Amino acid sequence: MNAVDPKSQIRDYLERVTRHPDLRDDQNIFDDGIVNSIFAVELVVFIEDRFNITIENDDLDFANFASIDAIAAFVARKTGAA
Amino acid sequence: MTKPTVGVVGAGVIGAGVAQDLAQRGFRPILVDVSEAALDAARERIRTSVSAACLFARSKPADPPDEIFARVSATTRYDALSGVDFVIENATEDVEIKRPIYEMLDAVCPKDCVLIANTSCIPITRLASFTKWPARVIGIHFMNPVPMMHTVEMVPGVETSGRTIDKAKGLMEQLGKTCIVVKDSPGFVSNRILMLAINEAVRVLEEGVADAESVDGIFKSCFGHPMGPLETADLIGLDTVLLSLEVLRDSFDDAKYQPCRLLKEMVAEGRLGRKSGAGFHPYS
Repeated sequence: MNAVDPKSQIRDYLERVTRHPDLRDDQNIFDDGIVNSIFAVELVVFIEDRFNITIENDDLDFANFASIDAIAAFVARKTGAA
Repeated sequence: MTKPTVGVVGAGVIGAGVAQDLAQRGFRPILVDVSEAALDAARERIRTSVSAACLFARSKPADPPDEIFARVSATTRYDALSGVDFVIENATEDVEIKRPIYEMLDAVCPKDCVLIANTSCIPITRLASFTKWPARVIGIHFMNPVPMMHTVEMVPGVETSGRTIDKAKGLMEQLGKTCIVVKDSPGFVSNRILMLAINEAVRVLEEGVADAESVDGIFKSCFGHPMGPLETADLIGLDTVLLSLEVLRDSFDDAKYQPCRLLKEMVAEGRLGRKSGAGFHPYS
């Protein structure tokens, strides 16, 4: 795994911005209170900007954003890497 | 109930939030700013904020984000406000920027249009003096993020009419907002107190008494506040905090509102908080 791996980028971003240094890849960041309603906006902006994708209406499924693993899988689908 | 037509002047963070809130409630707001770039940024902010709100609520919205977004029309032309019932003014916290806007609104808006000043600190009576009809001007201090905050500070000026107050309260009811009414005074209640606390928190940081994490941690863990003062400053925007302190210092002629050195340095460096990606804490 290297620095440009999407999952690493997602983890680095979440750990830095939420100031939670030890997130697990499968940890539910919504249920555990790591993402609040204000940060949710920034998470959407980060995913769109960093991976050059647009989150469409049909993508607005909580399951796509619930954890580092879920976001990485979503990004892979949107970028055709999966 | 028929929804009134609302113009929103100023497409910064708070203006975009007001427009988004109106659109989510079924209004068709007209967003006006002299800067095309600000309007473009506001469009993008509204689109992502609507999406994120749906995500956080864990539900598909009753109205799709695209549909909500489409209700907002954005323009650089003030004459688009020639038929509105209300204008909510959200320009930069600077009297000399706001003065020509009120003169322009006087020229283009219907005479019975209510002008709502969404200001952090500037007295409403002073803003109302820039118009020919001060009775129709009222202050409403919306909190950020506007769609998520359901209480506003309402500030009638000395000459604000009872009819204006009633109409403004009616609009807030349609937006699902509770109004707390206070008298007109610099900074009203909220920012007269909050800005002093933020300035002192920055001074604590500047003196090395504690780091940002500790300052905010004390307020959250010891007092049960959802955010500490430095996180709150990052959310408001450090440029707005600085301007607010300067308005308070000049209005009260009281040096206790003198902005501290670190705050001025951070604003000069463009570290403005969440909206710039970094402030006292990182956001990008």
